[in-house]
Amino acid sequence: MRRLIVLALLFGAMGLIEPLGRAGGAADALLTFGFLILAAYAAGELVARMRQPKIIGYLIAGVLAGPTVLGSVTVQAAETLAPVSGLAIALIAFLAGAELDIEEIRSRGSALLRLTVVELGIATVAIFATAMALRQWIPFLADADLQRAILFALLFSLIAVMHSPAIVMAILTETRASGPAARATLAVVLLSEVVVVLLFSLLLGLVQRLLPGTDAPSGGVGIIIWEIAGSVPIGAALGAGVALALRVVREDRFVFALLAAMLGQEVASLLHVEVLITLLVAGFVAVNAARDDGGAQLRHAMERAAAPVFVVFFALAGVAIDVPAAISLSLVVVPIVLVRTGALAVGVRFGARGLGLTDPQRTALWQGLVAQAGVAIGLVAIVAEAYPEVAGSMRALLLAIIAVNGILGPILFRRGLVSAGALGGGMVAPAVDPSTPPEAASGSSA
Amino acid sequence: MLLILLAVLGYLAARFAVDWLARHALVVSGAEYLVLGLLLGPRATALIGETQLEALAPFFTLALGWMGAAVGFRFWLPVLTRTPGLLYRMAFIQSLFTAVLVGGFAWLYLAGAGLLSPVRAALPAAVMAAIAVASSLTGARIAAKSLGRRNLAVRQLEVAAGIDALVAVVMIAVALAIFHQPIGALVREPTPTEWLVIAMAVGLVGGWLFHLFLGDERSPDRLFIAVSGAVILTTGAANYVGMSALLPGFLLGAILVNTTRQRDLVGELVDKVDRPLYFLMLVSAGALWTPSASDVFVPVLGFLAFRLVGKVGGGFLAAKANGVAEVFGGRWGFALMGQGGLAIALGLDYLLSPTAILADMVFTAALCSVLLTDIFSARLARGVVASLPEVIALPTPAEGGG
Repeated sequence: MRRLIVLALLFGAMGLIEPLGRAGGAADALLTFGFLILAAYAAGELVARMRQPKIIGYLIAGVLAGPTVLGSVTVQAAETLAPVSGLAIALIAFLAGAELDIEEIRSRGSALLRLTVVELGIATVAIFATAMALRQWIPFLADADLQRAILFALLFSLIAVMHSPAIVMAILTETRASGPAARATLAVVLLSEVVVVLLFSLLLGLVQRLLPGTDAPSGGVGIIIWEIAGSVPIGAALGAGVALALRVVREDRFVFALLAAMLGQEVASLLHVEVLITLLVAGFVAVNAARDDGGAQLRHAMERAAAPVFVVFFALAGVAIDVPAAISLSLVVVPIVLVRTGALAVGVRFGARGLGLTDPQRTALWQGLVAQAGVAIGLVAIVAEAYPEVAGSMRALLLAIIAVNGILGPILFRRGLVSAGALGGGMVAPAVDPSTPPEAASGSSA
Repeated sequence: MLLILLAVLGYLAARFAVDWLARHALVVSGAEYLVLGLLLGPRATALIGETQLEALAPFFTLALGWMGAAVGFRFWLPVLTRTPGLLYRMAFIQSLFTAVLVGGFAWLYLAGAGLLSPVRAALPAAVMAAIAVASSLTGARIAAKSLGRRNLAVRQLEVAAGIDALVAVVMIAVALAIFHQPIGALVREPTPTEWLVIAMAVGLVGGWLFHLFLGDERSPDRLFIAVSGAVILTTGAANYVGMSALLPGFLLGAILVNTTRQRDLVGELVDKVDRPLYFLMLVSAGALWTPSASDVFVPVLGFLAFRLVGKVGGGFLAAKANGVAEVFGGRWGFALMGQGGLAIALGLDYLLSPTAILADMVFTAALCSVLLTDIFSARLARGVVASLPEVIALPTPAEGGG
């Protein structure tokens, strides 16, 4: 009840204050940020009482606050908070890298790669086939000739198949899930991110050769290779630097963790390498190269630092959802979501054979792959650079699909983890740990 | 990348430089970050350009609200009620004396020299008065620590710095409310009183929300999210409506310290975030400085001189009026010369306000005062504390002795 009062008060206060000022600028950004932290967190707590993942609450709060529902958060204000999303992605990648176990990679790396390729392959083909079958109802395919339709449908399918490392990490952190299903899901979403980015870049290059767009290709193969391959040494250097710095920094690791993620994000951006892979490698190297328990402490500190950033990140993802557009596209969205979900289940069933997972664990794995978040939108932006005429409708359709999968995915994944008996073991340390020593607790406050 | 560098700088400053400087050189850290900002800013090397300053705006705006909360957090009623009333009377007298002296000078200069009409001159004059009133507690604390002494003079300085902060924060809020720019989108424009009530309501609702949000929560993570959310929301809302973020932040801090069961933990949270934000604000303030279009020599010099007279003379008058001139001596006001971060926050708050008139001149006065006084404030405070006896007997019965 208290949470509902908080939510009502927050939305009411935003409604009262909105006509008293001028939109835009730092004040608007701060107001929106503060509002989203409190509203999304309250909604998350409310949803948690219903035994659902908190991130559903964050997303719903964002949808409610967004310009298409209550309008508490304007598009302009949400855009000013884009750096928060960037920081969230950096933190997610760093944390995910920190969770990777070198022994597991050695022993099951090839099996995980095979699973990734199989599930991605089956799901991409299924989405492509569905998109072609529903071609006349999809605006960017309806008027295109066959060659153009096939190529755009391929690009669309590759983006639509993407998973969400952010949501998977958030659920694993929240539920303290552990075990083979949790580890395999995390590994597959991370691997698939790399594979999809690589395939997308190659496919876009091919499409641009076959269908010259309004803009020149944004980069050659060399640049794409550098973006992917360059990320590894740069991430390793960054991780080694963080591990070294950990020897000196013994207090305030919370601030240090935030700075490390921000620095990684900036370095990756400056050197034109993939942020996700760079931070993933950095997290992996930092935690494994740190002395004593420095790595574990850094991971704890980063999880604490990530908590408010995640709240706003997912709320912003909710704000971006255009509810009327999603409803108007439901005739296309529903079949694509169903086919994608089914294809992931089939893909995991075939691909996970070498991993020795039980049936409930396999179910949890494919259910973990259903969720989607905003990273795919970044790829649409790249398509828009070359083919602005298709970007608007492709973006609207993808946002609608992401909206449905973003809400459906966490619910399914949590249920899957419960069925697989994976909850509570703590593969990822809890965001709220009552046994936290005073030093670490105070560190969280900085 | 710039933000990272500033954040690293703020972090290192908060961790190492401040304590070192205070311990070894009796220097209140802060001025060097202003100078650094000036050197990096668009007026010097332009390493921090206009675009970067724009990107940093949410952070230094947040620093204002956070500083307000940190100041409000000092107002814990159980300690306030145990403090002898005499100390408050002395603090208020020196505070108001300084405000009247500096505000009067500024108004006479601006209106008399024909720079502004008498009515418009009241705004920069009031803000200069508010800045002049602000004094730093840090110098007194460093002095007390270096002397290993904590007599009633130290408590008097603490009370005076707290009252100075309260008067300064209220003054700027009232001034900005009176001169608030019309919104245009409303059926009728709110009156100055209504703007002030809105600003106060923002702080009160922020504090109330914090409690509704948390209840009896004890988890540090949830406390962190609630405190951050409440301060960010309050700061953003106050700035959004064109009011000072300091007063709502102050009220929020006062509510937190007096109502939360996790006072120590919340205080630690507020303090730990305040420090890096403070140094970020100082560097940004230095970078934001622009030479004033009008002559600043006379008003700034006048500001410094009248502030000195106000603090020292006001301190003496306050002691004399309360019959304790012989106990506290005639120069205890010297210990309040240090300006500290609040003066910069007040100047910056004004500079960022859409209402501001002659903002560059006012901001220059604040910067000059901080640059001058931060170096000497701890030594001045040390001189005062050392000159007073270990035990001070007040002529009136003390209700607890704070």
